[in-house]
Amino acid sequence: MKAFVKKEWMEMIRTGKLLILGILFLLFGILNPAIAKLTPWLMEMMQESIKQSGIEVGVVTVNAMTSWTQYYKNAPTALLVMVLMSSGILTNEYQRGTLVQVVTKGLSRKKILASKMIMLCLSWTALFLLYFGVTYGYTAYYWGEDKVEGLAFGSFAYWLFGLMILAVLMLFSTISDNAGQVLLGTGGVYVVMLFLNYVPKLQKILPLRLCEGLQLSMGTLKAEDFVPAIICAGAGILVCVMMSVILFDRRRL
Amino acid sequence: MAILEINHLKKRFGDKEVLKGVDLVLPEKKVFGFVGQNGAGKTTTMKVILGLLQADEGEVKVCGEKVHYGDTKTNRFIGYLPDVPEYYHFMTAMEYLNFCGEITGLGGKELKLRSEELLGMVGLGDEKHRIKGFSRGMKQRLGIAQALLGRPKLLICDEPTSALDPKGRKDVLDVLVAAKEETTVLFSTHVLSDVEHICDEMALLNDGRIVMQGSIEDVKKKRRGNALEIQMERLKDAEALRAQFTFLDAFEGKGDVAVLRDETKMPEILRFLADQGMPFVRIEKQEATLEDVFLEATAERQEKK
Repeated sequence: MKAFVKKEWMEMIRTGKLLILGILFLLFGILNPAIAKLTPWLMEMMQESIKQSGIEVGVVTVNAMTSWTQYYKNAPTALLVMVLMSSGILTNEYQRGTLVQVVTKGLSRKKILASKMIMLCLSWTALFLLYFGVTYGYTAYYWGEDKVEGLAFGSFAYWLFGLMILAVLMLFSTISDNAGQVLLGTGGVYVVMLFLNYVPKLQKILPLRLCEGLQLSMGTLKAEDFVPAIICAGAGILVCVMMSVILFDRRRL
Repeated sequence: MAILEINHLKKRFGDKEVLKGVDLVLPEKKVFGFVGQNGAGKTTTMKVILGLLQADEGEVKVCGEKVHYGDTKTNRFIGYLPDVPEYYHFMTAMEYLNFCGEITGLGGKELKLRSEELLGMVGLGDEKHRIKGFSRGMKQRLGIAQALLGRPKLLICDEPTSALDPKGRKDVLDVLVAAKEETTVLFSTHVLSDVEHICDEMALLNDGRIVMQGSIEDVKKKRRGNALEIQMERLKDAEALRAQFTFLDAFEGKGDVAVLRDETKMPEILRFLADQGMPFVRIEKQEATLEDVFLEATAERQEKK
């Protein structure tokens, strides 16, 4: 299994996938404080045109909170990039037929799947940490005296949400023939969650709650409010992983 | 113990029955030719052996262990070369072999030596480029190297010579013969001269069944009524001979040859030749080629339908 993990790593490096993801997550991370910093200047620039439309612009104050608001706003884009880049994680191998030789060498399918999952989980964790770290660093630099609460827990929640989405992606990768189907399936699950979220009773337990880290910082939600969603997401990950293993074993390569 | 045992294997794709009950037993340390037309079911049979396809009926045993569809443990005995082998393009040949070796549980110095030995054998020893730029022949040769890496008990090659030029084909066949020392080779092909060159035994798959199996000699002998060719020194003697014995056939394209189908008439003809003092070049039993056998066997089936 070590050999396959090594191969996955080599693939991410040599195909430039890791580099692209790294650069993008770094950019997203820088963007959050940058937008916050630029907002007053932008407002000033556009003051004239805004005035003409009859709206009076007062003094715009930005602080660390503005930067962290951007952080939660941009996190879905970062996750989307991750999903797009990982959509071919198994389907590329089916289409090329590269797994046939690996399987006929006697490597068990569970190990192949486990290697892929470990690498996906590790890269998401590392990249998300990068995203968090860069935003944290710049925000502390510009608005150091400004303390924002609940960032670590809010970020953990979003990380877990991302992990669940990636588990769904993995599940669809075991049954799909191409990356398009994987994206359709993963996106479908997300859309279904969005619809279910209209039911007030479900809002508490749906993993979508995990994206609400900002409310934790604003004080409108408490850490306890996240617990049902965390359990739900954990269970979702477990189910996806187990189903992936079962389905991948039966799959024609 | 038989390396490979296939009992009454059946496989159907939709309403097309590809395998209609294949039985096959492979002895050890032999090169076994698996012959059949395109679409006869060779690849399907191989994929079932490898657990890549699910059989509808029957069972397959490799080294005495039953093959299961999907995750099958029997693959540790097998080295497999697919008809079009695919690799990870971002690796070099050496890296790919190392990767394969680690999967099969080799490692360290042994793996390094074995990889170098195999790459040398298939002529890729000095190849430092990534697989991305490899030609088809190079991929095929790398395929053999990776298949032999773990010293498998059974080497399965799906049409290993089909896409290669004459030099590449000879290289591959030589490698297969060399591999016989340590493994049993099962290779599919529709190129009969390859079978004749390197195989000890063969099986002929036609229309989803094994219609003929045995050593190359046996299979050839099974062809009924080998004819005799009589080649005369002078063309007019041949004509005279055919005029005398009307049951003699002409040999297409060669006027000086007469073909005798019924061996019992031979003394009569010899007496005539001696009496007339006709000099002949040779009298020879017509060698049955595998091609004849193949065509005859496949034709019979079609008639029966």
